[in-house]
Amino acid sequence: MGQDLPGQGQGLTPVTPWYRAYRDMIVAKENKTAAQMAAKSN
Amino acid sequence: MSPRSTRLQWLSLGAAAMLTAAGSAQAADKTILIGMQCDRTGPTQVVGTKLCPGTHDYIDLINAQGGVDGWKIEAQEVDNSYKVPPAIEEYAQAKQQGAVGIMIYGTPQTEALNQRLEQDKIPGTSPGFGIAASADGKYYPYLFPIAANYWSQGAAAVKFAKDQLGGSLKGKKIAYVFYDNPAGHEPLPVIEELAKTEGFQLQTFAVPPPGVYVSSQVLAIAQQYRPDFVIDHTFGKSPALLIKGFKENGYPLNKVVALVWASGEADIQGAGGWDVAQGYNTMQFAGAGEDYPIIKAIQEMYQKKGQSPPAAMQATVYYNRGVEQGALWVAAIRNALKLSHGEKPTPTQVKEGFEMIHDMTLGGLIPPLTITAADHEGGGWVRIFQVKGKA
Repeated sequence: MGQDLPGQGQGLTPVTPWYRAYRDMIVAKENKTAAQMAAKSN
Repeated sequence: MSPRSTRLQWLSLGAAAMLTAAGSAQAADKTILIGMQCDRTGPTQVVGTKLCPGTHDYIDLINAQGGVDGWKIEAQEVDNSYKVPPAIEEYAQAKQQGAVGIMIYGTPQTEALNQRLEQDKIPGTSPGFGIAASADGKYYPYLFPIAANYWSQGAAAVKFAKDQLGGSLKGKKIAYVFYDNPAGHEPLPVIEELAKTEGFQLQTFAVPPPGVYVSSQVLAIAQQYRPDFVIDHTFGKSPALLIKGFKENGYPLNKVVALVWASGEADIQGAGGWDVAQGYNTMQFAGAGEDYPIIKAIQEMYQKKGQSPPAAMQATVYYNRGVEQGALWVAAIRNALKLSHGEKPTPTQVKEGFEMIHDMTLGGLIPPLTITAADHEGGGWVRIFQVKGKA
């Protein structure tokens, strides 16, 4: 994070690589919520 | 590319017989139809007028190269003006015409259409918006976020703030300013949960639609709450107004991270330009800028036709996302044609085609994207671009 990467675009400079965060928490929440919503609709 | 607003006219014609005839003609000339919704006239036109041309241009490029296995692709655009009733009507029209799927535009529209997609077994895409839980393809078999959903975006924003603030959010204050509709609310459960686990104080600031009055929110954030970081999840006219307001009230823009729909060049220009927005952090699910092979190929396509590229291409953030949308549909159809052995694919085969997309990067325009039957989001990748220097 924070380092300048090769600049691209009109004044928009990438300052991180591609990343994702808190992935385990997000996937667990997606699965739990999706299952709950499916149960509600059945 | 010329505006596709004339495509709206078929809606007003309203003759089912004509639609059926058009469908027959498409079958005869080997055309695969995708329904495509856009907002070129409503509150999010700042996005739609840039994103939708990118989708058309990618598909035009593929068609100019002979199509996909001899099939031409047509994305038939209609304007939903970011309203739900026309979105439902337009979906029904696309289905009647034999579309193999639909490019949805808008979170309220996604929520309204999801059940229909499942009942009709027609795939729909909601890149970077829509229902976060629909990343789970097991329970949302026909809905495809195909880019970081609002939960992934919210989590990534918190992580970015944490890194910028020295690696810990304990005792810090974060403001979440959001467009007060279903899209704006969607990231909240994740950010609230992270507030507990990371130990930061969270205060929310709602901007009522259509998002043209933000001065009270700006003052409440910049003058009263004075947070360590701001997460901005607004869209339409609000992002530009917030950038301008924060600047005028002395709040440092390098302490602001915008989710993906507050992150375009038009938002920066609307705030007063690059000088005003220095330091503003934008979140992207496709790269910004023109330095990508696929963008060059589209520029060459126009050159060969003796035309100038569209002005929308200069708004690279939203235009490039449109290119991504077109490319993912073409990839899904290409995969579907393998399943159908070259015959016109069914919507279900196109759905399965999406789930066969593996490690797709579009020459670096997008993160390595893999979509499976379980993961319709494609991994939840984002990248932060900061306003530095001039356009």
